[in-house]
Amino acid sequence: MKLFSYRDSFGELHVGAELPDGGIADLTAALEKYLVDMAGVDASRAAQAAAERVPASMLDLLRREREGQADVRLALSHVERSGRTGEALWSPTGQRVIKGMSEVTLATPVPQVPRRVFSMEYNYPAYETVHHTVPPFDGETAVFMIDPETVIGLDGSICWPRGAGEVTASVELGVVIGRRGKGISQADALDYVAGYTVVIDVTGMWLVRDHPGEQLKLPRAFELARSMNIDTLTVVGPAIVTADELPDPQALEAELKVNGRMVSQGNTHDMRCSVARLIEYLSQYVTLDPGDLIMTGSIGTFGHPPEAPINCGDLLEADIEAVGTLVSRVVAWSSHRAM
Amino acid sequence: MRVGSIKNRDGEVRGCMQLGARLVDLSAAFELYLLDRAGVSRSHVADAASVEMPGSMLAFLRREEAGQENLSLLYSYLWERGDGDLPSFSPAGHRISYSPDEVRLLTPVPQVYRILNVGVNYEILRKAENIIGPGEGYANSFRKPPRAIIGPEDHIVWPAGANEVVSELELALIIGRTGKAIPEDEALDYVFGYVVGHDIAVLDLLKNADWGKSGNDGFPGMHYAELCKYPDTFEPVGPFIVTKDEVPDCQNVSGEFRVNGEPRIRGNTRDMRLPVRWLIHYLSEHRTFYPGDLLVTGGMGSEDYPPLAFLQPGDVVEAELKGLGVLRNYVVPAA
Repeated sequence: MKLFSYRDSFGELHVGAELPDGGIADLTAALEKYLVDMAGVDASRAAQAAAERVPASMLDLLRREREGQADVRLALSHVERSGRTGEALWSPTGQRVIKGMSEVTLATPVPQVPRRVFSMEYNYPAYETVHHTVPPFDGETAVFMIDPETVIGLDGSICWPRGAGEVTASVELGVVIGRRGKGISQADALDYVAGYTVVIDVTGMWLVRDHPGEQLKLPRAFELARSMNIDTLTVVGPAIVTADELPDPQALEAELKVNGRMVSQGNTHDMRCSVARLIEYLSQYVTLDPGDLIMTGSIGTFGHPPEAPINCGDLLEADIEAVGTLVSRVVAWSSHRAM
Repeated sequence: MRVGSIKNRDGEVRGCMQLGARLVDLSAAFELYLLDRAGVSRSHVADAASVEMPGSMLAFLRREEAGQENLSLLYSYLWERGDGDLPSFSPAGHRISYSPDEVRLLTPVPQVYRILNVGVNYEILRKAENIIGPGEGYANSFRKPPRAIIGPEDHIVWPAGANEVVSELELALIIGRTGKAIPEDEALDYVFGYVVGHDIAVLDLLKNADWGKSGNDGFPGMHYAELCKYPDTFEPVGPFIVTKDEVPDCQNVSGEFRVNGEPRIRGNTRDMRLPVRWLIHYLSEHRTFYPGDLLVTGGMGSEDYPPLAFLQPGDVVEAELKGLGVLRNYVVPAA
């Protein structure tokens, strides 16, 4: 399944799933319909029951862990069945169950705070070959946390930071956690994944080095956290592709285009630490919660390295095989809404 | 004013204020104020109070100046009435005041999820540990996950497999206003209050940082500078937020950190390399600060009482900042 958070014409957030014909099903309304049609729930109580079982907030839905995912499946398969038989697709309380993609605004898949974002760095060997970075130890990576409020989706634009110099962008595979856990073993790790998404990770490199391409040096390496926590500089979306559709996250082609020109390209096969190892590594110290996002490292190869320089006005397109394409525009800081 | 959060016997987490020897539920007491002084009818006070003085500290802080004005009004009102004169229940039937042994005192803003720490902010740490600190005009900042935050009397859980765990004593502050690119001379206007911060790290993860001696600029050990701070329970914060009007100079707060009663760290915020107002200016340059954000300003220390205190499972640790209170926690082995 492809799960979205989207805003309706009133700006209200909903959780939706992609339908085979390209439409989008409102999963809360769909479950309401299922409860009345198939489970004999009284129409007067179905809306409330549906809102509790498939909340309109993706974070609340993910917090229901496996039960929430099972309810989503029930709701979606009911829509697909009813759709085929041509039934009118309105929920008992008059919510429209199916909408066209053009009628909604897609938000980042988990717009609600407080979900955490962990950014795993230097997870592709290209960092050593291209950027001459001293790598972390085998089986380990560097980790930074990203402010949840700096994250945007398709409903926002990357806002060029005031006074910025060198700014770079990368494509990363994002892993959305679906179950709470600590001390998770590598063998069990993928059971904790709700799904995958695309991340465009933009970094204010001018804050950490004086010249483009220069190796990171102390004392400015201390500033890395600041260079990654700039308003609007992490784009996540467009959807969460559920883990059942991607049994092997380590064989996905990925690329980043800037104004149509391919700048970074690689395959998740090259990760130094696999998705499973990253979950094991992080959960050794940190309890992972549903809704948490792990960014698995900037993707690149020798010819098409990670961290492509970008400029104000650029159009960024990040694509990961079977996960999706995420498009974002870099706009001048003044034209972005005051934050 | 000293404000914080309690969990009452019904398991509700509520914002509170310390008044004499009592803990007063902010939202319940505000119902009383609205009825008594603002002419709000008895049937409406609960709804009005839940908006004007929300039960959650984060929701209260998100109201920014409006919430803080109400807090001042409430404080003067309660002060005039005197704590002996308060009824047990609010007009809508909420319990108003508690003795401290009836409730559990939590970290002041349990809902906090943005924790911003500053590292190597006292010259003494750089000297004592022989490390390269951030250069002139730069700060070392890092994040901690919300699950690191614990409150008074809570357990610090020793991570499985860790060998060396160290504590630092830090002045922490809670942001009270939304702002970005905040000028240095206005920075303190964005502070709601101050609180004791206790920053813990797994030193094992950093021990391979050679701080530039090999020409590798501290890498690969430097890669673990953030992770070593992340473990659950590794940022005790409390016991109360002391509003900034009661802290005449945040750059002159002395502190002592004790392990099993024995002083290990002593310092004063006057020795900060980068003062609070500069940190707010610098860290808000490209990211928005929101009310409720927690900023922890770096580990203090002195020649004889250096900034890092080593812990062991079983230790009782007390972090104290003068005027802000004592924050006591217990180090327990991994479950």
